[in-house]
Amino acid sequence: MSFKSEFSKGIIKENPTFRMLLGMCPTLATSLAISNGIGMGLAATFVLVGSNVIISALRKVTPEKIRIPIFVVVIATFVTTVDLIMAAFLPDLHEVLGIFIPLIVVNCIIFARAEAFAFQHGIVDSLADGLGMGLGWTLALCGLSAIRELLGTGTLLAIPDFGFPGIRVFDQSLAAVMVILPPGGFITLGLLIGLLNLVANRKNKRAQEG
Amino acid sequence: MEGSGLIVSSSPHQHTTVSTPIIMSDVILALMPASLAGVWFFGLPALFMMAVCVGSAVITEAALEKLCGKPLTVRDYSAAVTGLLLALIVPPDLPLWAGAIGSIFSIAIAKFTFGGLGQNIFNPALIGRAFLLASWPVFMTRWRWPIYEAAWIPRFDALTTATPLVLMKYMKIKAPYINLFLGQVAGCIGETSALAILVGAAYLVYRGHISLRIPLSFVGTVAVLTALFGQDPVFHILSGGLLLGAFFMATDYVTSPVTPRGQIIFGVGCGILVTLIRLYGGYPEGVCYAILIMNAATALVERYTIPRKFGEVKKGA
Amino acid sequence: MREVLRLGVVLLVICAVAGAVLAFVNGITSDRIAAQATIKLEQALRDVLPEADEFRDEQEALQELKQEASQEGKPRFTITDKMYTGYSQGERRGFAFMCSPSGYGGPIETVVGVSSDRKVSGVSVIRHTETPGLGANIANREFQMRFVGIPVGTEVKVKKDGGDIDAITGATVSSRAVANAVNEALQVFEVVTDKGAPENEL
Repeated sequence: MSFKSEFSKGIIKENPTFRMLLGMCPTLATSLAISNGIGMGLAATFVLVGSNVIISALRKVTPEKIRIPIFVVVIATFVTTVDLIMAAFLPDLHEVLGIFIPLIVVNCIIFARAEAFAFQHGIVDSLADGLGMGLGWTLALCGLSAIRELLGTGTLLAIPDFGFPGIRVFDQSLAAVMVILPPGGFITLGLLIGLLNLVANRKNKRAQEG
Repeated sequence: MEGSGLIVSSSPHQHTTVSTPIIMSDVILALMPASLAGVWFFGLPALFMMAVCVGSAVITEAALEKLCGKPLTVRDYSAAVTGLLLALIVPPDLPLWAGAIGSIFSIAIAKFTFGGLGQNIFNPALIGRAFLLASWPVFMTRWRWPIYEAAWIPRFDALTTATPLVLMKYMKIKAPYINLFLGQVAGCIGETSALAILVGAAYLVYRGHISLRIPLSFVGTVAVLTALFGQDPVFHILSGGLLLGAFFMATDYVTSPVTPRGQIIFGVGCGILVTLIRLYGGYPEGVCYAILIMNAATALVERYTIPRKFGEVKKGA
Repeated sequence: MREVLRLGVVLLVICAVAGAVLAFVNGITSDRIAAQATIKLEQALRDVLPEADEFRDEQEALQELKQEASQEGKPRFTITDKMYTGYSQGERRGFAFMCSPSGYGGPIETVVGVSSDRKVSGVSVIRHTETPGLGANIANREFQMRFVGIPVGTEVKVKKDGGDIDAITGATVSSRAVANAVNEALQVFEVVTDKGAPENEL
């Protein structure tokens, strides 16, 4: 496996959200606006890359028996770092993402990659894997957020931190509020996963026939 | 064996001639009095709303079945019933596009994603309403006094753009029985006239399509509980969507229990929830949510009320 | 036994390194994080009391006042959490009150400014958990402007409760909560100025 393929698999083929259904809780809770999606996605990507690299580097000295506590310590260190830096420099975004930044600690994507990949692969591959998975998650979050932001508020790309109200596509009174409420998150995510599966199945069928 | 004409399949061996299209067209017929009352009180916009909802429900069902290569079931009228029911439980001033989106949501999300007719857990029309209420709460809580007024029925209060339940809950004003019975109050298109709903319901009972277990236990529970809490039970029976919900939505074959005991539990459960929401909840009316919550409990209720098979020995006995 | 010791040492080393990293990050961010809260508060106070450019926390005066105002053991002014006085060029320009009335989804942190001409000078909602698209509209400037200019002594109520404030459509509970905050702020202001406010006179 090359760096490139380790990197690219996380984006579509093994996308953590749409393919592996990992990290659903923060996905549903934070995908309200594209700016949230980018912020949350990049924060998680930073943690994922950092923890993947460190865990991979330490894999030879990590005793099998206590690998889980060690993963937790490494991941928690990165998460706390992100949390503090965000609170200091991006306070508004930090407030919106709130509890979900500390909760990156228990995000299944990060733990799953540590256990299933970084612990068994070299540093470079783990770096590529972390980057790919992180970006895959960021893209999925942004896609879902874009749909929910557009349908639920009628705007796109609003960034409250910088006082940017976003591009108004239609009037707020016409926006379907439910889409940015929790049920809207579940339904939109479900439909997106279904749609992507439909496309993938058709593609597979065509490949088999062709 | 094949082609010999002598195959004995497993039971059931007796078939009824009553089919889905017959039941569904009877339901549409039974909804006609309430629909006509809606048009009478709220004018042509009510008629347009029904046309849009029925049309978009039928088209959505056909389009999705075509897309997924499933057999077309539009001719069993079930999508039309869903569309019509949805039109009857939205306010007359709801924009038509919102009615269309609600219909599409009912069919596509509440019915089709579960596998189509017979597979859905929740009543599609009620899901459509719940979706509209959560999405456009402003449009869904904007009411209007009937266009047509019979002069001999009293106009009971100046603040008539609120529904009787809103007036009761927040202003302690009680609409007269005669207004509620005939339907000359603000409300959803098809829910205001108790008389029209009861005429339709009587037809369904006469044709044998619905049993009275669910509606009677539902309405009865509301009456007993509201009386216990010191409210006027007759007012609570006649106002809001209680009668329409009890006779036409709680009795939906797909989403309510099939066992007789289960049906009574289902009706009592709906009644308790409606009373709690109306008296203590954040909303003035709770029929829609009450039925939806009990829909979710249907499988559980059936599981515990399933009749013993002939000859089966009671477990643990 | 040696196995346990080895595991313990490995874990200890890793935790120590992690601890050191975190201490370092905390060292460079803690001042800024603390400053962020103050910046935000200053911003909010300046928003509601634009005439002032310097604010003083009047926590003690507020507590004293709350105690005096309570009648027969019944506490008054329960939603007012903080009181600030705003100054410009050494002169007091008015008061700002931090209130947290209960909305539909929890407390709504509202700052209400009352200027020395005994009128509401500004309202700002700094934190809330109201329904998006409905109650969340209380954070809009347009809604908050509906309160500006209300004189002290007025009972602030939404129209549904017999007052003059237009509630946000479909969000009476949230609107009512903000109205309650403004109402209480005006009452506190009245009491505070009548009994001779702390330090400089008006």
